[in-house]
Amino acid sequence: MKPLPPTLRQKKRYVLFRIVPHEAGLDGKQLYYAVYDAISSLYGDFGAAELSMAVVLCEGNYTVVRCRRGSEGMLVTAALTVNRINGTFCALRPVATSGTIAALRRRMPESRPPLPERQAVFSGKEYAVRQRSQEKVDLYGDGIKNQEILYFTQDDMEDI
Amino acid sequence: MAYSDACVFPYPSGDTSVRRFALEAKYMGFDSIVCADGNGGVSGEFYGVRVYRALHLRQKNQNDLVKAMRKCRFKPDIILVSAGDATFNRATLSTGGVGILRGIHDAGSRAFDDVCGIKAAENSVAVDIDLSAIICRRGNPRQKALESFAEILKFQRKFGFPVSISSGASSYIHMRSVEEIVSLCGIFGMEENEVKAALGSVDAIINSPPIIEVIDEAIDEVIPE
Repeated sequence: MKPLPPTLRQKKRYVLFRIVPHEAGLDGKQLYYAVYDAISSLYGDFGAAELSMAVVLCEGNYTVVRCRRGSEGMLVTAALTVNRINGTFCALRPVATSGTIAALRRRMPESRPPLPERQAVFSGKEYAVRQRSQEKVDLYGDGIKNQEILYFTQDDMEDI
Repeated sequence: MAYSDACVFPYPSGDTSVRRFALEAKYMGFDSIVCADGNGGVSGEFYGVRVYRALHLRQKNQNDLVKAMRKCRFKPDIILVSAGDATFNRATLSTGGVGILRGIHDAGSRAFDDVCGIKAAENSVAVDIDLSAIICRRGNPRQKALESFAEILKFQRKFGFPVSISSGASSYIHMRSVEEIVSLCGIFGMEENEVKAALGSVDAIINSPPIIEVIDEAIDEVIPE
């Protein structure tokens, strides 16, 4: 099929999402399937076709999702219902909406080197402690089935 | 207005500590959170967010509910009760001390009627909208939950009882910010001002003045014969 001339093409909007938790380690394909599943589950096939969603960028904890202009609200609402990607608990938090990817790139903070990891024993189990910020601390412990993660704060760690 | 998440499940029920919940709630625009189950006696204010200690009861009949309320070892700021059938809900809404009726979307299509609506309005008991039913469910269960929330909204507009909104989160990942909640509640027709009023209802319930107020000065007055 012959492509549409630029004047007849639909305008696009780009939505920047932050992926939580920090170490989700997702790629664009996994994100695409998760968001597309959320859209088709909430709005049906017709809604999904109307949105014409695509994941255009996936860098660190941030992703940019493209949709048709005027349907950003639908995209954000559907993305809020994403709670699990590829078997791990994840959420997408909307940060900004723009007409260009460049504008959204400016909203993405530069990735910082990871802070040194240490070990801690909590309720008889050994955990790898990773400091996320001044206050946030994540505890990673290996379980029988999968990795157990606890989300604590620096004050909690001082109490332990 | 002070916004509040009406129910979160911290560690050990969930994987996030009370303090971490409070910290995330601060970034998400909340002023307070209600921690149900196993909050380990932690309550107070963390990072500028007020943490309310709640007792979450899942009893099936009225007698067991009253017994459980009496047996409680700590003094909760608010009592949450899981909804049951219509008879149980009517009795629960008339029971003194109950603050929020939760999980109405799981209780069946006839569990909440106009009598429940009137009783909830008379006793200022909030009916909870649990967003985890929209976020974590897919297909038929989510459709039923959305239908149930839309019905609660209709009753609320008619009878004017308080409505609370909770994320039902056992992890901070499942929490949603105030703007995100406005967007999610728009699916079943809740308007922005209604959502914001609902987010402020928990503080209004907890800090409501007592029904009977004792005025000390009146005791000294001599009653004429």
